[in-house]
Amino acid sequence: MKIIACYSNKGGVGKTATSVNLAYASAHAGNNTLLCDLDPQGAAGFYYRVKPSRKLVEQAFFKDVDKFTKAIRASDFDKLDIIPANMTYRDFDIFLARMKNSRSRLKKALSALDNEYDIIILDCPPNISRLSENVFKVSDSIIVPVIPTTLSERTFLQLIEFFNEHKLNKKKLLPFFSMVQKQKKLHKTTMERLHKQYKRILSSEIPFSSDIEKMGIHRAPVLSYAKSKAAAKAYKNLWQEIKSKV
Amino acid sequence: MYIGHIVPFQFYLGNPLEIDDNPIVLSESLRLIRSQHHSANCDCLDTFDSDLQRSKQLLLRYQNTLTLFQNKQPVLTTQKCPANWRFIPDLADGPVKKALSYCSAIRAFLPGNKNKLIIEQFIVLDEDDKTHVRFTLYHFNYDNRKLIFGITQPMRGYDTSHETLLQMLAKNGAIETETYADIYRHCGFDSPIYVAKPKISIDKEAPILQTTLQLIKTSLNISRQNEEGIKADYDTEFLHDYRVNLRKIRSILSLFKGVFSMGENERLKQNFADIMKQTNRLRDLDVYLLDKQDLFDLLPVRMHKGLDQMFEAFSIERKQQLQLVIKMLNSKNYQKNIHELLEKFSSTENLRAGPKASTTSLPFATKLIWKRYTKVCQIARQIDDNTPDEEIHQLRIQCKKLRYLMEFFSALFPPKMLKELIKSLKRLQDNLGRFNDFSVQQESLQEFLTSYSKKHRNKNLIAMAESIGALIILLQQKQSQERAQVMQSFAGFDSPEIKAKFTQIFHHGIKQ
Repeated sequence: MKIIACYSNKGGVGKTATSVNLAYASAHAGNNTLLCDLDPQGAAGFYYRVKPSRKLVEQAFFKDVDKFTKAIRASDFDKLDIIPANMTYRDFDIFLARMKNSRSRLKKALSALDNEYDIIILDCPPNISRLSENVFKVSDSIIVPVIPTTLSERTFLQLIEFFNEHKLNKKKLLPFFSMVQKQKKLHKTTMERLHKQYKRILSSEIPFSSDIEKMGIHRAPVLSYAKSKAAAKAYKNLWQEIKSKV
Repeated sequence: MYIGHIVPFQFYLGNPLEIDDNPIVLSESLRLIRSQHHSANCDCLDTFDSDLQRSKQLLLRYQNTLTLFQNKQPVLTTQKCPANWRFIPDLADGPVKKALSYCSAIRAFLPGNKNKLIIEQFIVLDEDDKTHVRFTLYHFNYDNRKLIFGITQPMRGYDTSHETLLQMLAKNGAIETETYADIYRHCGFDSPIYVAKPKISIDKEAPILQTTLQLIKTSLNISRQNEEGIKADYDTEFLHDYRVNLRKIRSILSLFKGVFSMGENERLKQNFADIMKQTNRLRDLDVYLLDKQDLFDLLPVRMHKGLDQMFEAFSIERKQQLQLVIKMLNSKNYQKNIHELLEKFSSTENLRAGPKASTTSLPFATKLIWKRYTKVCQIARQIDDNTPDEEIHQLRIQCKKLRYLMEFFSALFPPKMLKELIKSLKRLQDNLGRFNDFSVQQESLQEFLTSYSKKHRNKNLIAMAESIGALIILLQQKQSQERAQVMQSFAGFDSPEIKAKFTQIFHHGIKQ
């Protein structure tokens, strides 16, 4: 079982679209896949038409593995299951902080699924918090969407700094360029510069695309309704590159 | 895909669901729609041994695809298959082949009557169009007879929706089923299914004459059940089973001394020997052809050409032999003979009883088995590296007789103990069987070469002689390897525990 987190400390960078499409690509490639929607906004679940779970309350999430697994829902796609977000644990960063040995709890809950899933994808909320720190520890890889703009670059650097400060394993970070608009000079030059600076930035990139924006209308991954379009192919390539590194 | 906590529901439905294009409302938030439907010509398949029915599976072939239903598995296993597919080894590697790997490689998968199959797929959706449950109905239509079978595919986390669907199905008369027996029956498969080795219930107090008749009748019936399969040439196991059962009858006639009068016994022995003799050559050829791949594998590719011709000759001869056997089975003489035999064995009064006829079955059985067991041990204990091969063959034959006896009378003895004894005997028999196979193969190769060289004088002969010669040497080596194992195999059978059990069941039994 490999745990892949999709994380950004900045919102609106295409993080959820990435989680949703990578989970689909993983399942489509034959892996038993679980997508965990940890973002309280519940967008990943929305895209798969899975309603937020009422059963899943904070305490149950970390204390009772059985209840945790009961929250899992089959998606409409083969080999892909979802844990929908729960609106009641909006503040569960604080909740986590209160709990003792919190760092190991999430891992415990996830490894109970070891025999069931090949790939677990975590769609994380966009901030650096206790939960994020937990996520950084348990994940085998952390996918970081970066829009090739100054602001996005800055938040990416902050993330690296955070890893340095907390002595976290930076090798887990797999940044890639998201919402790329090649015709913009800024995007182009930022990408060239960062590629030189950080060798670990993935070569696959996701273009800015109206097909991706339409996910909200279709309520399905791009790969399922527009699989021949450039955006879908880009996600497929991204998954293949990630899979080769995990 | 999720295989897990909710068990799929398998059912038969008396009438189709009236759905057409309008959804059925299941609850405030759930509705049922038919997502797809199509029809195809369909074969339902099983072996003559009913491997699938026994293991609660169903194999269908439609649209050049095999679809395997495994009891309570929500996801069907499918694989493309060749048009006239029959044998497992002829399938490409794939999920169905893998799932059926427990089935015999030499048993044909035979179709029942051809059905028109209508497949309807349904989904239960919520107000967001999220799927909660899927299910499929299979309509089997044959000759104005209909059978509707369904299976649900529960989805993780949607237990209550599955429950809601089941309530709707129950209202429509769905009846749960654990097996696919009704489908097989609908498709024309025999019921009860063929059993090659049935457990024969024997009354231990009954006179042995009565028991003997019961045993012979059982074997004769099983033998006859294979006749149609031999004629249709589905696979070679039909003839094999046919012969095994005739051989069992002959073993009874030679081992159960004094049950019938001497004259009666001799006449019956001769009669069964005559029937069986007419199938000898066909069985030999079947065995050669079944071993074909093994023999090719023994030789380097450059020597294969010599063998090709031999097997071609075997194939041609097999066709001729098969026709002879079919002619024999269809002949008035054979039909008359068999009916007379059946009539004869229908009542003890039709047979001339021998001096032992009224002996009680249990002591008769124990004495016979004990005698055969001591015979096996006697031969085996004298075997050393210098014993002639003929003695090994004798041991094999005695072991076979012992095995038959134990199986005939299995109902009279504690099943667990008997199973253990048969298992230990089987190990020895397997070893002896391989020894015999290698020996028979050498003989048949030599025989073929001799007769071929008398008839043909051409340049191919040298290539053929080289290939066959090389094979014979290799088979000799293999035979002597098996030969070297015999003493060890027997030691396993001759262990103190096995010996003690044989004595306890079959020797002390006499004293009781």
